[in-house]
Amino acid sequence: MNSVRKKSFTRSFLATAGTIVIAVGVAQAASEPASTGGAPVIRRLSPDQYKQTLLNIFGQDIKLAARFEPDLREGGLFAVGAGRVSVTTTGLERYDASARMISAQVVDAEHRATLIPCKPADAKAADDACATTFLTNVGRLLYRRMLTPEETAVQVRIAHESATTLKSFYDGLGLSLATMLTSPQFLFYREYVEPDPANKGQYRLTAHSKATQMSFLLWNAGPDKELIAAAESGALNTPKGLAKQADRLIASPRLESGVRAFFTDMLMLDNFATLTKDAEIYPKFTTDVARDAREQTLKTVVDHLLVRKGDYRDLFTTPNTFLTPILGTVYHVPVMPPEQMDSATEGWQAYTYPAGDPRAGFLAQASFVALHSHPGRSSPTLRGKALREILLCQKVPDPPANVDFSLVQDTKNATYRTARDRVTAHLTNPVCAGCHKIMDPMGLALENFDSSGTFRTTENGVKIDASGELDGRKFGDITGLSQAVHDSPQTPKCLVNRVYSYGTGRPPARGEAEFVKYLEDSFAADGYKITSLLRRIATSEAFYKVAAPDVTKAEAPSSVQMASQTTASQEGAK
Amino acid sequence: MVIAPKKTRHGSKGAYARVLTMALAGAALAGFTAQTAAAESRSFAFNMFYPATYTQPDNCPEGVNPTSHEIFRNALITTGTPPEKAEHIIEEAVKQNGNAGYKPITERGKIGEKQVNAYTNPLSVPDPGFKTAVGKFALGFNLDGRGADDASAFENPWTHEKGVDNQLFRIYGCLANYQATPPAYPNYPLETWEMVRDTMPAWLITVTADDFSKDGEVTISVDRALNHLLRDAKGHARSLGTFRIDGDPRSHNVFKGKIEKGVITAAAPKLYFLGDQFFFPDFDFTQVKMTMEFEEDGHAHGMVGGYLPWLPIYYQHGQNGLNAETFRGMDMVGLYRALMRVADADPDPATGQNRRMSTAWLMELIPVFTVPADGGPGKVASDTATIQSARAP
Repeated sequence: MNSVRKKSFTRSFLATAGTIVIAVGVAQAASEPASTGGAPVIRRLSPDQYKQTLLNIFGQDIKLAARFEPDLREGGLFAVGAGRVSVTTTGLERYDASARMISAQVVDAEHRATLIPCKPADAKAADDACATTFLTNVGRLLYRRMLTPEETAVQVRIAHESATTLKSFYDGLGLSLATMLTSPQFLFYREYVEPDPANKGQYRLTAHSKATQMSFLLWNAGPDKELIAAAESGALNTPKGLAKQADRLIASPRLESGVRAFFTDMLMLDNFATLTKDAEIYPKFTTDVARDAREQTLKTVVDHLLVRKGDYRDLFTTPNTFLTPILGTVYHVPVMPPEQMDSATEGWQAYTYPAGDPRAGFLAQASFVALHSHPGRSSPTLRGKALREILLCQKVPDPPANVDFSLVQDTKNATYRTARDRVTAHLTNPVCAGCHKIMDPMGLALENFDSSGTFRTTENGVKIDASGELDGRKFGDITGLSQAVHDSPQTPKCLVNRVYSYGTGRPPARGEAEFVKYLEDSFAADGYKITSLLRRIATSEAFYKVAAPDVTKAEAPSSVQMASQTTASQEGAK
Repeated sequence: MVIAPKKTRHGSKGAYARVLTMALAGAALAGFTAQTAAAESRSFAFNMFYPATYTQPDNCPEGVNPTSHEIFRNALITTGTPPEKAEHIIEEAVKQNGNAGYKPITERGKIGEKQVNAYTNPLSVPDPGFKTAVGKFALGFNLDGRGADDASAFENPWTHEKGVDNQLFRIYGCLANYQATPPAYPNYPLETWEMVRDTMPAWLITVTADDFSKDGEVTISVDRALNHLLRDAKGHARSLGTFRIDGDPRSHNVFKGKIEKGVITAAAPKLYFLGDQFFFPDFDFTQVKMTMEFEEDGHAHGMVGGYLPWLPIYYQHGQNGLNAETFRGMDMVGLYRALMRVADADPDPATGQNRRMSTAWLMELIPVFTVPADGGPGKVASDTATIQSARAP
């Protein structure tokens, strides 16, 4: 066993043994294999990360009403696309407007007593001492590290000059805070790198960057004071300290935010924001339904994975979900209306489908069948493609430019009355057939759900044949499809791939293949528990390892290479 | 037998499963556990409930009742105002666009030497006359059992039953805002229903039978819900919503009926349910008759008839009499006297004045789930019939 493996084993052992709560149910797994790490990434905060971070710092009553530039999804994740986006001048204006709104609240009479830890000698004049206290405290959380003396001096000077001009200490402080909220140091999180002292020639994230990476993975927000303190004390560079913080973050209620953010990203639930249905055909699919359908999936995920600590694969078969009265009208399910009639569209309730009900499991939720349909008709192809790409991480080629969709779009065709008839006819075109064969057999098994997510047994008066196939496994309807997805070895592998990509902001590098395989095996050994997977990642050495520049040169864009050359000496915290 | 044409204008008619199985769920949820295991139930919410009008060209040989301007002019002139002054008062009232300007109109009543509000004292004003409908046809039921011998009764145009008692149609029949023949809706009832149905607790009706495909006995329950209808993107009521049944015994009614060739008929001594002050505060039917028919898509429609006390009908309009006269062309003084005149049941022992009048109401029903007010989510979740509703063709 080489030294790296030895250390990994020791760390793994200590982490497991030292964390009773998390260790329960975590099966014995092989020790962490060596990994090269990947190229470091500079990521723009997602709107949700921006929001969560500020609410964590300034409190839940701070009002945020920002609209930001759209994110970019790459490799199935916004979290990966976040490393490929910048900020335009228009985007900066939006950040600035948001920053001014937030900073004004922080320093206003309602909040200053709790958010500003000191009082100026004269509220109508600058007070550098008080400004320094506040700005260094807040700056540490916003920049996710200590401010450098130069940065502190600049922020205090802004506060001083503004206070003098405006004749208000608080207004001046607010302006200084606003500049921090529009700083790239806050809006982007960059990975600071340092040589790995235990492995000559190799690199790792600095402790502060470790804290940031862990926090965004688990909480979808920047690190709190304790995590930053652990970075500053060097504890995060020890296996025990790393495990302690990972366990603390996993045990926190904020883990729900992190899990919600991940599944929102992976399942592309953001698409609900623009999802529309033809009201003439699906009048029940209103914005209320779309809002609740998205939340139904997230509640189901949180309940199954965090509350019940269930097997990830069972998400596809679980009869347990949550419904509102208005969702009940779409699913044809009785859902008790709330006591207060004014909130008739709210009132979430736990709901368990009877055994064998085809509406059980994630694939039957509107978050899948409605989200991956056309506005006026279902789509076996879109659904099959989504299943392949989102849930199995398999890329389906784009359709050829000259594809003729006229037949599959003709839902009133007298000859081809069901979607199966139409796509089958479409497949007579050999150009189309190749790709459709890897999508349609799964998508057709979902044909018992119309574009709005309502169960049906006929289309145009013809009984629907919902039989299908997934990688050679045949089934008669969605129940069989859901079980096939559940049983597919690719399903948990895909999740592992997505979670790791989500945490690192990039797809796994070639040199991380062995580590990813280790995660897959560990995930299985741990009973496919999401918290176990998150812990494996958050306490691993590989998660914080950074490839040496010459290793990543061939696979990383120039901007990333530049970031990778940033050294610890440039990091403000040092 | 057709009891009413299918409506396409007001109801949400998706391609729903047959309600048979869904109603099984409704039955279980509604607590109809006393039924045999083979019994099936279908629960509905009232999507529309309105006076059964059947307007024909010969209903109003003297024309419809006048519009507001004419009502006001007649009211003022008949209470002693010179015609020119009456016009001036009306013009000023319209200009002021407020109730103050209408005071000479609203307080046209006179008791002794004192001017009083005509709407609260309708008999303080001379009868201006109120045109009531005549003709051969009206929707409704033979409530008094007199049949063809009843010269004052109508004939049901759909069933051709003779002796149909529907004096409310006589009242509404010559009001422009009420004139309609199904499937068209009378305008004012539609307008008020649209106002109240987003907030008024829904009305529920559940029909239970051993087998709806066979002739036999049915049990009908009518209740009020605790929650109201929800709408879809087209503004129609959402079917398959879940409604808590109000435990208030005043709105709980159970009676027997029968199903014959797919048509349900029932009779009951009384039917009562609470309503809404902007529609009708309550419905207090006596000598009730009902007919109802399921539709292929799971909806249903039907008609309810019975005697209602006429004074609440007056109050429903008279609570804002000026509006009724302005926007409904309904002279309140004339209405009051007409109601007294055409009332055909429940004579006051002291005066002989009938206190009730025959009525008929059309109902459009959407399939829903019903649960007892205290029913919990667990009970709903454990219901196994729901899956059958989803799988039904």
